[in-house]
Order: sequence, then C-alpha cells, then structure tokens
Amino acid sequence: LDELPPLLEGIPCREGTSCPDQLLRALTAIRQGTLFPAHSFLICEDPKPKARVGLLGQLGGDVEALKASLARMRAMKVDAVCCVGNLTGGSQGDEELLRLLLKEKVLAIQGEGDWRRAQEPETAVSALERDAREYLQGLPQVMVFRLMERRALGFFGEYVQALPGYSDFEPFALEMNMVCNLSRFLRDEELFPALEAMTPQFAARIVLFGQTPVWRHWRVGGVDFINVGPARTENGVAWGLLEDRGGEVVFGLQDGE
Amino acid sequence: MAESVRALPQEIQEIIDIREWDMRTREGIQRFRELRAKSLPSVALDEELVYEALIPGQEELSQEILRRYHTKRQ
Repeated sequence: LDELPPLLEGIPCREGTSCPDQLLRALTAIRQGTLFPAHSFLICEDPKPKARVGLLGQLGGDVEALKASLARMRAMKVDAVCCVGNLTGGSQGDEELLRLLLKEKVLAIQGEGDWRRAQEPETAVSALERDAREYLQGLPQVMVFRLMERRALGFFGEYVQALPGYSDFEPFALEMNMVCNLSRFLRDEELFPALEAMTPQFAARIVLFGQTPVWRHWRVGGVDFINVGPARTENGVAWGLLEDRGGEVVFGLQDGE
Repeated sequence: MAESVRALPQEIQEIIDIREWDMRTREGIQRFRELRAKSLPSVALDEELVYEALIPGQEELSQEILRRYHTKRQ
C-alpha cells in the first residue's frame, strides 16, 4: 500500500474502466478507511446444498396458483422453493400471497413490479398493509443458492442494472450483463459463442431470470440458464423443477391442471 | 488479444489508435453488438469487423492495417 501509489500517480484512465488512476483512488480510500463495498442490490444467500428445487415466476398475486404449485412441490419432495418475481401484480391477492410466501419460507426476490410497489408511499391507493409491505420491502433483488455442488444465481431482469450505484464489477453483475445485454435474455442465439467465451468467468453455474414470460432452459458453456416463466401457462398452473441427478442439472416444466 | 495489438511494430503503432472494450461491462457489450460481432476475441479496423474468434499473426495484422492505410491515402 505504501509502494504502489507513487507508481500509479499520473497514469491516465483510458476507457473509464479499471485503470491506474481509479486504482490509485481506491488505494488512497483504503488507507483513509473510506472505501466501502458498493451494494446497489441486495443478495440473499442460502448456503445449504439442495438436490431438488421448485421454481416459481410471475405470480402476480395469484394465490391459487401459488397454493396449487406448493402442494405439487411438496408431493414431489422439493428441498426448497424459489421465486424470482414478480410476486405481486396489484391485485387483491397480493397481501395474502406475500404472507403465504413468508409462512412457507419461499426464497423470494423482488421483480421489477415488486420493487416499484415497495417504493410506493404508505398513503398510495394501492399500498399494502404494513406487514406485507415490510416483507416486500425487505426482500432482496438477487438470490444465491446451491444445487448440490453448483452455485445458482436468481434475478428478475434488467431493472437491477438501473438501481442506483449498480456497477459492472459487483458480484454476479457479469452474469446479469451477459443475460440482459449480450444475449438479450438468451434470445440472440447467434451471440452464444461470445456468451460461451465469457462463462468461465462466471461465479454461478446456474442462472435463473424471470423478465421474459416464457419457460425455457439452455446450456451454454457449461452454464445452465433458465428463463423462469409465468405461474400459469395455457396448460394451467406452472412451475419448474430443478434437480441435481448424479451431478447433472435437470430442469423440467411442470404445468397442467 | 490487446497485448498482441499493442506489440505491433512501432511504424504500425504510429498510424493507428487502439481502443479496447471490456466485455464484462455494458459499454463493452454495446460496442460488441454495434460491430455485429459474434465471437471473442474480435478485432475491428475502421469500424469494420475483420477478425473474429482468432488472434491474427502480427504480420497478417500489420499487412491489413497498412493496406487500409494506403487505400485511405490514395
């Protein structure tokens, strides 16, 4: 820390990214005790390995869909249930749904709609009752859990990048940038070679996202990408089953009445 | 890739400006998409994607730069 700063002084930044002048500022801040980690989004992490995980998306206050999905997940003996948002949809079922998620210990994060809802003033017409509102406000925007040996990341979509202070160098920002910006939610398949070239730098081997309303699974560069779709499809109530079977990641959409 | 470009002979360095984009950043991804690149690493010359998914040899890259340089000066 004493030797490096003089060597960095006066070297200009080239592209506004990770350059010597910024490193010098960071080192100076460390010495002054004023450097703190940037946290534009909250991450909840469940470190306990799981073999079977139920996935939920776009519940939008649909309590009946949640109840039906949870019953089927229990019957299939999942170890955990994860929901990547949106939990609420501005309907009358929002509060009951949030209470049920809390009661059932569902690992849930805010979708874009949830995040906006949580910012509403208490006096807003659509404001939630205090307990539901506090639960929603306290939810993180990013989840991390383990499917046995693999680390899984879940986030809703690109609103996370718009949160104040978001940095391309935050934990899991690489995965989110690759999903949202490079591959446009895995829709640009012609860019999969570039995505594959970036996956060795990923911290997660499974990436869940929910912004686009379809259920789909891709494996690119050894990383499993899962678009967590809506809680109802044309076949009825829908949820995803994510499993580790002998070290292999297996995903299946469970839908139907 | 950037290192191989920076290691070009001095006479080549004098006629080019090198810009490098970090693919981890949204800015880098945007530039990658603007150039209609598909693979990494990629090299564009004068806004045109010339090399994709390969690192050209110094001689090949130098010749291509010189060819473009002389074409522009004609």
